[in-house]
Amino acid sequence: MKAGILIGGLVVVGALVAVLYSGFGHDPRAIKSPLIHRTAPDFSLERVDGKGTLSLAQLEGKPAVINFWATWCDPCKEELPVLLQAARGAKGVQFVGIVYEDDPANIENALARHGGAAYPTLIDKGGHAAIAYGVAGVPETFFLDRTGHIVAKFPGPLEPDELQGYLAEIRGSGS
Amino acid sequence: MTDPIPARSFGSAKKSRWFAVGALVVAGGAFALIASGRIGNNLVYYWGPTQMEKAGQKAIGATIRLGGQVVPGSIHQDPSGRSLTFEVTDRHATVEVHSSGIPPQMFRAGIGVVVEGTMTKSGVFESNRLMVSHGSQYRPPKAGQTVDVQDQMKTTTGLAGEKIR
Amino acid sequence: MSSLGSLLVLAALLASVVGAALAFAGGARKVPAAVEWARRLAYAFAALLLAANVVMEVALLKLDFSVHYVAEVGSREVPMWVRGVSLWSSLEGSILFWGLVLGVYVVLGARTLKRFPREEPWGLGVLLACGTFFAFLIAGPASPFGTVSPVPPDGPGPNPLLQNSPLMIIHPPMLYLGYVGMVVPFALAAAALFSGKLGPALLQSLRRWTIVPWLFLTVGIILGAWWAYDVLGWGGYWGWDPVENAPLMPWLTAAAAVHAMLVIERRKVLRGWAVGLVLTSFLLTILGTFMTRSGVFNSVHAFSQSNIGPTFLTFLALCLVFSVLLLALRMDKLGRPGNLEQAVSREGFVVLGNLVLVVIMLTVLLGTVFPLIAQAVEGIQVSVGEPYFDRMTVPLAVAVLFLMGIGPALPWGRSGAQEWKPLIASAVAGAVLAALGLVLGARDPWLLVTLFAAGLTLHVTLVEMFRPVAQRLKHGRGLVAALKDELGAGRRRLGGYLAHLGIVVALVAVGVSHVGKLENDVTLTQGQSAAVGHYVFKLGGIRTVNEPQRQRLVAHFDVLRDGKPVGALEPALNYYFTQREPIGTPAVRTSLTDDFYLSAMSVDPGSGTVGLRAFVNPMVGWLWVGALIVAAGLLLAGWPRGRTAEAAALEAEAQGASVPSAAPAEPA
Repeated sequence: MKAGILIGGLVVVGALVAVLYSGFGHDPRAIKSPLIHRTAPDFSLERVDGKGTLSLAQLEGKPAVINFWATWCDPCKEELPVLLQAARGAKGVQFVGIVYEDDPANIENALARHGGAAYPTLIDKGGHAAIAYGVAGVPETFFLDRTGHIVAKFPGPLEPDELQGYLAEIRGSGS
Repeated sequence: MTDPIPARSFGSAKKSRWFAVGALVVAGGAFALIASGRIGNNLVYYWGPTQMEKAGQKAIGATIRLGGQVVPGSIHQDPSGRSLTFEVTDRHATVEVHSSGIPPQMFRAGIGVVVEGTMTKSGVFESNRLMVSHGSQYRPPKAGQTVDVQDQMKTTTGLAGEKIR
Repeated sequence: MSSLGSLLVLAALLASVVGAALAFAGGARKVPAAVEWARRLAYAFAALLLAANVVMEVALLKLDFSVHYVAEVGSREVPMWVRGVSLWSSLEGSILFWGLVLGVYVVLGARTLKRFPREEPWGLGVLLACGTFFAFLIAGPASPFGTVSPVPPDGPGPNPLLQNSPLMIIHPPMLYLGYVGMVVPFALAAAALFSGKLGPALLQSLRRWTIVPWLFLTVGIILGAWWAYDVLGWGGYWGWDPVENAPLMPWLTAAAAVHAMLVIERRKVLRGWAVGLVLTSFLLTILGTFMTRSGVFNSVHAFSQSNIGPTFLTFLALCLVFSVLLLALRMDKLGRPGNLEQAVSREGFVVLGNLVLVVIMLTVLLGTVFPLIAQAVEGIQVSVGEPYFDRMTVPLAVAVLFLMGIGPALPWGRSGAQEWKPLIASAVAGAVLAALGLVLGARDPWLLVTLFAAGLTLHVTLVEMFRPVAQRLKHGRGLVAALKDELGAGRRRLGGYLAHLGIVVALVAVGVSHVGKLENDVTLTQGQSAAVGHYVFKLGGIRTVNEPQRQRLVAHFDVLRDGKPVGALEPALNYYFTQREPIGTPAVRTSLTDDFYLSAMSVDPGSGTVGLRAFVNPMVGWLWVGALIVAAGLLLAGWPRGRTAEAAALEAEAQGASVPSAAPAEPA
C-alpha cells in the first residue's frame, strides 16, 4: 500500500470536490444587484390606461411585484399571462408593470389579447425608472416586501411556480 | 533491436527515489508559483459601477468586466465609426466608457451591456470588448407565432428617439 | 410512449445494478456462473438503452408532444433532419443518447474482457457500475420521458445555434464517443489493479482502448474549434472556454498514457504511472461532463443550469475516491518499481514528455477551476483571462514539440554521443524553417522557437517514418511490397509518426495564426471599401432573405486580393423568431496561406450600413489539415491487429514470455 498516494490523493479529491460543490447556487453569469435588501427607488409614472400617475409611495404597506417589460420582447409577452393570472388570484399583493421603450397602443393590444389588464401598467418615458432599478434587459421582475425593501430580483421570464415561490416570500417578510 | 533490460536494483535505489521525490516537489512548487503569479495577473474581475467607484485608484490597470446599463443620451460615436463613448450606470454610480470596435447590432441607449477593459487614470474606462447582455434566453414561441423583424429592428435603432450618432 | 421509454430505462437500471453486483460477487468468490450472468446483463443493458433511444427518436420524428423532451425541443416548423438530431440538442436528450453510447462501449468492453477470465469480473463490475449511474440519471434527475399534460399543439424547436451549422450534428456525438469511451480503458485498468497483474495481452487491449476514445476526443475537439470559428464569428477558434478545456484535459492525459505504455512494453516499468494516467483520463472526462452539464461554470455554450449537478458531483466524488483507493492499495502488485537507468534515452524522453503533458493538463485545470476557488474563498467573481493560458501553455507546447523531435531520434536504453549526430541534420532543418519564418516576417521569439522545433521534429519524424521502407528497399524488396509491410506489420509505428506529423503541422498553424492575425473593424456604407492585409473588401449591398424559421440580413462584399478579384463573401445576421438577439454567420475564404474572415456585427438595411470585423488569419486551414493527419495516425495506430497476432500475444503471455517485438521501435 502506498500511504503517500492515498493521503495525497484523498486531500486533492476532497479539495476538488469541495470547490466544485461550492459552485452550486451561484449563477456564474449573474452580476449581483446592489439593490437587494435596500429600499426600492421611488418612481412616479403615467398609467397606460390614462388614469393619471402611480408612484411607489401609493403602494405603501403592501408587498409588490414590479415587472419591467416591453411588447417587442418575446419572452416578456410569454410571461405576461403568467403575471396576469397570478395577479388575478393573489390577494394582498400589488402588481405593477413598467413598460420600457414602447408605445401605449402596442401595450393595450398585448393586454387585451390576454383578457385585459389585471394591474396598472406604467410607461417609463426616457427609461428613468429602469435605470433607477438597474434593469439590464427585459423582462426583469423585482419583489418588494410591505416595507418597500427589495427582497429579490428575477431576470428573464418567470414560470408560474417560480412566481408563486417569490410571492410567498414577500408576503412573509418585512412584517 | 534491444532486449528489455531488467530494472536495476542496487543500494542507491532508495537515495535516488528520494532525489526524484525532491525534484518533483521543487518542480511542483516552481510550477505552482509561476502559475499562481500568472493567474493573479490575468484575472478578469466582474464588477458593477458601484464597485468600480469604491475601488477608486485600485481599479486602474486591472482587467474588469463591467456590467450595467447604458445611460440614455450619453452615446457619442466617433466620426470614423471606430470607437464610441457612453456611460454605464447601476443607479448608484456611473462610469464613462470609451469603447473601440464595432458595437453589436443590439447596442442602444438603455440596454444592459457588459464591457471588458481597464480603468485609466483619466477616469474613463477603456474597453475593447462590448457585449449586449441577453434579456432573453432561448424561449419557446407559442403555436404559430411569428415575429416581425422590423419590429425587432426598431429596438436596435432606438425607440426612445435616440440613435447612435 | 412516455411510459414505454421510462420502463426501458428502469429495466436498464435494474440490469446494470444486478449485473454489477453479480460481477463483483462472482469475482470475489470465484463463481464463473455469476460472471456469465453479469455479461449477459451487460448486453441486456445495452439493448434496453438502444430501445429507449429508438423510442425517443420515434417520438421526436412523429412529434409526440406528450413526451416531455419532445415538448421541449420539438417543433412542426423545423425540417425532418433537425427533428432527428435534436435527440442531442438539449440536456435530457443528450444524456439519453449518452446512455446509448455507453451501452455500445459496455458491449465492446465486455467482449474484450471475455479474453481475460481473471480480470473479467472486475472489469464488468466497473463497466456496469458506471452504467448504473447513467441509467439512474436518465431514470431520475434527467429523465426525458416525463409526460406533459395538457399536450401542447407545438413546441419551440431546438436551440437556433444548432440549426445555424450542420457541424453541430456531428460535433456532440464525436465528443460523446470520446468522453464515454474512456470508460473501457478505465474498466480495464481497474481490473488490472484488482487482479494485480498487467500482462502483455491486457496491456495491448488497454493501449488500443485508450487510443479509441483519444481519437474521438481529437475529432471532437477539432470540430468544436471549427464550429467556434465558423459560427461564433469572433475570428478565432479557441478561447480557453471551460467547454473547450473539458475535452482537452483527458486528451492530454490519454496521450501521456499511450506513450507511457510504450515504456512498459520495452522496459517493464511505469506500470502504475500508466494505469494512473488511464484512471485520470476517465476522471477528467467525468469532470468535463460535469463542467458542461452542471451550470456551475461560466461558459459561452454550456447547457443551462440544471439539477443534475449534485448527482454528477456525487458520481465524480465516488469515482475519485475509488480510483485513489484502488491505486494506493494495489499499485505495488503490478510489478516491481523499477528505475530508468538512462535519462538520455528514448524512455527518458517519454517520461519527460509525460510530465510536460500532465503539467499542461494541470495548468488548464487550474485556470478552469480558479473562478470557483475565488468565489468560494474570497467571494469575488472573476474569470481567468486568455493571457494566463497562452503564456503558460506556449512554452510547454514548445517543449512537447522538442521532445517529440529528440525522443524518437534516440535509441531505447542507452545512448552515446554518436546517437546525437543525426540530430545535427534535423537541427539544420529546424534552422531552415525558422529562417523561412524570419524572411516571411515572423518576429515573435516564441514563434521562431516553435518553427525551429517544428522543423527539427518534422525532419526526425519523416526520417523515422520511412526508415523501415528504406531498409526493406535496401534488402531488395520492391517499393510496393515495402510500403505494404509498413502498412501491415509497421502499422502501429507508422500511425504513431503520422500523429506526430499532424501535431507538428497543427501546432505551427496555431502559432502562426495566433501571432500573425490581422484585424480591421470598420463601418461601411454601400460602395465603400476597406482593407486588411493583402485584402480589400467592398460593400456591394444588403439584402433580406426570409426563411421559415428566421430572417437573414445578408451583406454582400466583393473581395480583392493584391488587387485581383477573388470572389464574394456574404456575412449575415440571422434573426431567429425565438430570440431577440440576432446570431451572426461569418463568411470565410480559405486559402493555403491564409483565411480572409468577415463577421458582421450590425447590419442596417435602412441606411445601408454594415459594421463588421475583418480578419486575416494566416494558416488556419493547416490546423484542420494537421488535425486530420493526427486522426488518421491514431486510426492507424489503434486499428486491431489480425487474429493470429493477437493469439500469438496471448500464447506468449501464457508462457510467461514477453511479446516478441515484431514491430520496429515506435515513436516516443
